[in-house]
Amino acid sequence: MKSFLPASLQPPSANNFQQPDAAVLIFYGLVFAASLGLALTDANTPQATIAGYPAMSFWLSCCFVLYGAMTIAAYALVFRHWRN
Amino acid sequence: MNTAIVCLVSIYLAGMLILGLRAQSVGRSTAEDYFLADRSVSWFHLGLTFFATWFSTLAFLGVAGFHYTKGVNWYFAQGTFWLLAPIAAWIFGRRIWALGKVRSYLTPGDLLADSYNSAFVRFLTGMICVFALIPYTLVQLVGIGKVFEASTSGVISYSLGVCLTAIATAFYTVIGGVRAIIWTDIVQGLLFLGVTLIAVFVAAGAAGGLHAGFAAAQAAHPELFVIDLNNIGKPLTTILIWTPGFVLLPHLWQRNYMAKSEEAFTKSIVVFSLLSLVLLLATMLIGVSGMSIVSSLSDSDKLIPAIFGSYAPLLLPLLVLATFAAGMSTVDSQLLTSSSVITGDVLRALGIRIHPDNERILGRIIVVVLIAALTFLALLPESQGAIFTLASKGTAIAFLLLLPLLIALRGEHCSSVTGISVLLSGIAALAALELGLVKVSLPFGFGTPISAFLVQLAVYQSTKLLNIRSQRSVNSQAFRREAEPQGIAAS
Repeated sequence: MKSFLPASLQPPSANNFQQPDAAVLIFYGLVFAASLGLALTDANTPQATIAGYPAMSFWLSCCFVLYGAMTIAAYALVFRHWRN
Repeated sequence: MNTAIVCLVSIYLAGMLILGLRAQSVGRSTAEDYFLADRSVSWFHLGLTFFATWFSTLAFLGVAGFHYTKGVNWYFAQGTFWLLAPIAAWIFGRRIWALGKVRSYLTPGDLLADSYNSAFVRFLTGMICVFALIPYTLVQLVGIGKVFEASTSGVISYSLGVCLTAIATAFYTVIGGVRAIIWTDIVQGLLFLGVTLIAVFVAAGAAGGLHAGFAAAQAAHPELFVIDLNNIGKPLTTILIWTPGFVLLPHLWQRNYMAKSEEAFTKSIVVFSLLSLVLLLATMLIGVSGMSIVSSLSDSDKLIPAIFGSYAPLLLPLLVLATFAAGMSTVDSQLLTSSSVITGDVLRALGIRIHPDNERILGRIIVVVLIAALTFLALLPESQGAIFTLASKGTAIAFLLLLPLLIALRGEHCSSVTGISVLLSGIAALAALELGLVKVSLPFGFGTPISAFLVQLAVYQSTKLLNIRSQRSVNSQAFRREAEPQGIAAS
């Protein structure tokens, strides 16, 4: 997998490093786009609720927990690489 | 109640002073040890000092208040930049660490001056760092003063709270340097995280539970649960300047130099990410619960004190202690970094040579002078504005370093002319916009830091077109190789 980052921002020389770095950035980008995209949906109306909670707060909470989970998963990949 | 607050604060201060004295006995008498703990900080210590330094009174008081007044628009911005900040550290922080290790950098100005081979770049970077830190440090003192006054119904005044914080912080920072700061950060970080979680239970309990709290908040303020697309640029500006702010704010930049290894640095970011997520959700729950149980506040920074005052008055001493901890954990780092920037960058760029043996002593003197000046500023009525607004000014100034850092890490077109023109154009643009000398309105409400960044980008492209190069560009390959953290680990 070729990194889309400019040369100087590419991860360290080992090729294995490029995959987690690029994957992390793509996934973060997708979650960010999804959280922003929610603002264009019916969730972004004053009375919209999900399970009794305001819809935008509900969805954003889901997005942010996903962000956190991705961070841990991404670093777990890197640690596995180091151990190997 | 006030007796309890005074007793708890006294015990806490005594503990901080003991840690400072202990740190003094451990460290070596070099500037590198005083400012960077000999670049030997473990992942656990680094993770917690990142956490305690990044989350200040701003996080403890300001952001909960912002959830309360701006609702989901703020939640979107805060959640995104808090959780993207580790990515900024992952991409830039590791490279800053690697370069710092190889080239013995102490300050942000060391890296940029070396990259652009220019003493004037060092001076400009130093001045940007100092000006970025002044408003940011100021808000910590202001926040603590406000809580003291609100929690004790004015018995301990704003002024007394500010002075007490300044004296205590200066004492352990002066004697123990960054080791004292890291040790106290661990205690302070865990303390204010614990009290924030307690505040969630207090607020949600008062609102009749999370579900009932959300329902009541939505019924009372439906407009706060809708993202305002017409002004989407405002939260996006917050995200754009605060995400790289995790690396660019000088006291956090300097922390990148402290890790003992690349692995320690990365693990510290995991610790930071986990704690961030907990604090994000906690402050959101406090803010939303507050919408239904606290009627309109003129100063949103006083939301948490108001909740404790009405629903858990017995816990008020803990709140004062946590605010103290949150503020001090940031003030100490900012003081020490300002001191290192003034001795290492500003004075050096002005041609004032300081003997290495005297750097530590001079650093201590500057810490004392700075805290005295900041205390004076904090006591002025003009400084007592909303916490987040003041801190954002500092972050906007630090944002001027983003493009110069990107160019330096790329290692291309790093001439002194490029560095100076990019920095000067950014300073001029931001100053003109902030002072109202020039009026520019970007679409969707994007803020002045973005306009200043665009000006810097245009100037950089112009210097590229003029093909202004220097010896530094010729050596760019070597510089870039050294910016690879793996290379350090291998050696």
